[in-house]
Amino acid sequence: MTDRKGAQPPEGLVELVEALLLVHAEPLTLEALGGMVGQETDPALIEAAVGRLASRYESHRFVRLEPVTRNGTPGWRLVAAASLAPYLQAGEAARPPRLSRALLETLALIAWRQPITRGEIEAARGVAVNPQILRQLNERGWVRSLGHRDSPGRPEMLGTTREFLSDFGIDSLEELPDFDQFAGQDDIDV
Amino acid sequence: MRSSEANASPRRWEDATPRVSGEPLEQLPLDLYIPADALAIWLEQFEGPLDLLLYLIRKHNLDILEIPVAEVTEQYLEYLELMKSMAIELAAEYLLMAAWLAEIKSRMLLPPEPRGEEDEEPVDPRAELVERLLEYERTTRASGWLDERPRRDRDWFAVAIDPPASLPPPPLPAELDGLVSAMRRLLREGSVRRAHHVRAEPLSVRERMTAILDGLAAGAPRPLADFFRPEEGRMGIAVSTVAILELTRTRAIDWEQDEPFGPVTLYRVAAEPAETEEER
Repeated sequence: MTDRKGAQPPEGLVELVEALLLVHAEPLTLEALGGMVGQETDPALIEAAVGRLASRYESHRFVRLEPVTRNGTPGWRLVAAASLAPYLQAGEAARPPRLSRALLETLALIAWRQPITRGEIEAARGVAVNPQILRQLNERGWVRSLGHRDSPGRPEMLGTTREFLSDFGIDSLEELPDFDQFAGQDDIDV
Repeated sequence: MRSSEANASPRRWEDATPRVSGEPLEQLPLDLYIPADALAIWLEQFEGPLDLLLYLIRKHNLDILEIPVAEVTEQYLEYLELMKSMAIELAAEYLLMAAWLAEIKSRMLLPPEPRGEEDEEPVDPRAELVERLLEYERTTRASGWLDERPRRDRDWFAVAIDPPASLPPPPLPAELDGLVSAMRRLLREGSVRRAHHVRAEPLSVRERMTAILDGLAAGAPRPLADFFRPEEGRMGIAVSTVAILELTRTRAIDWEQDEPFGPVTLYRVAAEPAETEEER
């Protein structure tokens, strides 16, 4: 990212933008930044400030300024990169980074086929859903109840959360590739 | 490469030859040259009967649309026996699949059942199985796709410093007639401005339902007006309305109005399936 010619961010704006990004875990769009900085500030100046900040963070080994699309509009957030992971894991019992196949398959069915009931997940995977897995998905905040279906037994319908999208770096459900795209004849590894 | 001495439970491995149904298994299936104790772990990796079946089909390069049922059934049962001999607890689903395979196999031997219309193709007894296998395969690929996405707390970590003091509460929502006239104006403007555009509809009811549930997640009721974004025009209002109705129908949320013509508030219904339909 480079500064635009002529757009010199005024004294303190880069630091202000940095502080705003620091207190928000979620990405901030240009509009959101503008709303906080003050409407009288030219968006081009804020963009220039973000550019400055990005080049400043380029030399940082563990933190980077990451561009993110949010609701179709560009935004940014500060993230700690994977290079930090070994240090974090050495310090505390971090969440295991690996997700089981059972959990991922259940999550995939919920993401692509929502609203989906537990029975439909079981039919698609051919095995009973382990309650432990649904609990884990709930604890991570990726899956939630979407109410109950108007059919006998009123089964609970499951769907994904915003947190799921944000944790997997997906802007919206529409961004998920078409499920049928995953059909194919190439060999799977076991 | 068999490590019978080193094994922790010598009882099971006294005889180095594995036995299937009491018969010594002379030859392992061709792709199974694995140390014996690793075999149990390997077999446990299957996520279920569909996974095992899909593995067999792919392993032997069989056409999934033209499954040789007899052959596959035989192999499937062979693996089940192997699992049993390894004392892996077999879930009922595996046995159900075995029964289903046997049923398909026997129905393949019978002449096809005639269906009402003459020109209709007879149903292939394998059709449902094939469909489920393909669907399962898509699921595994989709889950692989998800797993490869850069994931929070694995590939990146959110940076956030807590802001200092609590912020003052936001101003109270506008009065009802203010809202009505604003909506009327926006509907008018929206219909004028948007009339010429032909483009993919960016609004989705599903997304909106998610947003509404998010908005109500804290548990505090919020005014109806919060969930309409006038800048989305007429379509946005329609999508919001459908989303709210849909959520009401599934009883995820409910409405409240303190007085006639008073402001309507939405609130989240606690998820409890105990509520009975008979109360009406």
